[in-house]
Amino acid sequence: MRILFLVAVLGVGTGARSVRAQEAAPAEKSVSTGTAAAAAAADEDFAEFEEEFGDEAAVDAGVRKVFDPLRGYNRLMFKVNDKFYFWLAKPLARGYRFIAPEPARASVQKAFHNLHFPVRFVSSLLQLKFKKTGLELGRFVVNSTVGIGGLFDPADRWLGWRRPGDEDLGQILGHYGVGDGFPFVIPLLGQTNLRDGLATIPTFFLNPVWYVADTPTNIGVTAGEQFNFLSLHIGEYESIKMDALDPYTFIRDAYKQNRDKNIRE
Amino acid sequence: MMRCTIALLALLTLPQAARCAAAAESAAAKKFVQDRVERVLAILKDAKLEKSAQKEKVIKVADEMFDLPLMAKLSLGKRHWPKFSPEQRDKFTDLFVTTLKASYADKIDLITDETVEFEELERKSKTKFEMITNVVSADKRYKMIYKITARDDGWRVYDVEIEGISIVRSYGSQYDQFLADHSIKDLLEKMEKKAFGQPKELEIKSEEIKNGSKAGGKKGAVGGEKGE
Repeated sequence: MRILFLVAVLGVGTGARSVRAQEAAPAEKSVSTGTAAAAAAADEDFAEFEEEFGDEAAVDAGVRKVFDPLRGYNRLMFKVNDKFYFWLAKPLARGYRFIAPEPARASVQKAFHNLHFPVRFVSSLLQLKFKKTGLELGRFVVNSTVGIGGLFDPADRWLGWRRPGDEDLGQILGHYGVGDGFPFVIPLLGQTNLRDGLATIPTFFLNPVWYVADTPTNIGVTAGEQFNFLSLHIGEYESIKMDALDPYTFIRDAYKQNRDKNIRE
Repeated sequence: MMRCTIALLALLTLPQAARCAAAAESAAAKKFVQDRVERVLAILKDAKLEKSAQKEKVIKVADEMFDLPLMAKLSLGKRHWPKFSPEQRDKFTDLFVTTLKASYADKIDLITDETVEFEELERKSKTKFEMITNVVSADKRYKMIYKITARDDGWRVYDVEIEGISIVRSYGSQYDQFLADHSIKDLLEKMEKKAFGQPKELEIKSEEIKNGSKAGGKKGAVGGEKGE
């Protein structure tokens, strides 16, 4: 039942996303104007950290003069997701974690990660990150066999092949200079942007489950994965919300910083 | 180290001696972060300590590790800092420090059996370093960078970047956006309200995070029921 509900909402989400896609517009990058510069110029602390936290740096990092044309919709969907989390997802995830011990849930998460190998492999390869491509391939072979379908991570534990940062299709686009468009909140799935949101669509075709199961099962499995992930990370959203003056912009800006870092690396 | 000593003693070439001095400085910066992070982890692993005592001790370490007043100032930035009166600056700094400490203490509840790996130290400028660490959790690895600088009274962390998300930058953009259509007075009021009272739904029960499932079903389940 729950899965059916998720299917319905996910379906709507995907539809909405493709509509938004047509309204694509390049992000504006405006030049920062110096304000009160005279008064502050004397302060050497600011001078020392100008490169990192100055006006220009803030604009570059995407946390100032944010181009957010769907602000109204985004805020609304943020609220919906927030309620969904506190009223439904969190209580359920809580119940689930009393039934399933943490190591089991962590193993399930690792198996899902192993299953998503194709996307990371293709994304690393297309960015010509050969070392990472090889590492992903090696880890996949070892963990799928010795690690029993990825439930365990012998590649890390015994061979020292550490899990590298995940590559995805959005990062390929970013790597080759595609801007992120504008922020977009997906129903249930949360913060993304135009570029990364669109890139999740072809990602479905790199998911092996897609080829062996019908659509409802497929979406059910995806929902299960999200749910299992959530059970391992209860408390993190609360903690972020507690820190923020405005949780929507906080998460939006954090998402941007995180994506930019992943694209750079 | 050996090679450094020899180079210094033999006074081979000036550049090489300079490089050795720099290497010694890097080592000191690295040790500064590593020592403190390890101390925090040791406190958290100490099962004999009460949760509140743990928090107190951890915050004490954080206090000498981070330059919180500098972080407060940097997050407002030169755009806003000069507009604050001296009293407002003090008040803001106080609230910022309180908020960050509370946030830090809360994060402790999220830590279960994480371990920390220390990677390399990168020199960013003459006085700035970045210590790269990995926090290894049950299902993932997080990259956490401590940014350190030399202050008058020794090394201090002036920013932390978790998976690319900088604390100073994130808090800074929050203040910047709030001040775009609110007064400084409003900001201080809002911060005060946040610092001394959070909605109940945001409370995280530590025993809950510590995972009822591990401690054995029933006891945990009761604790969880009470949670909300």
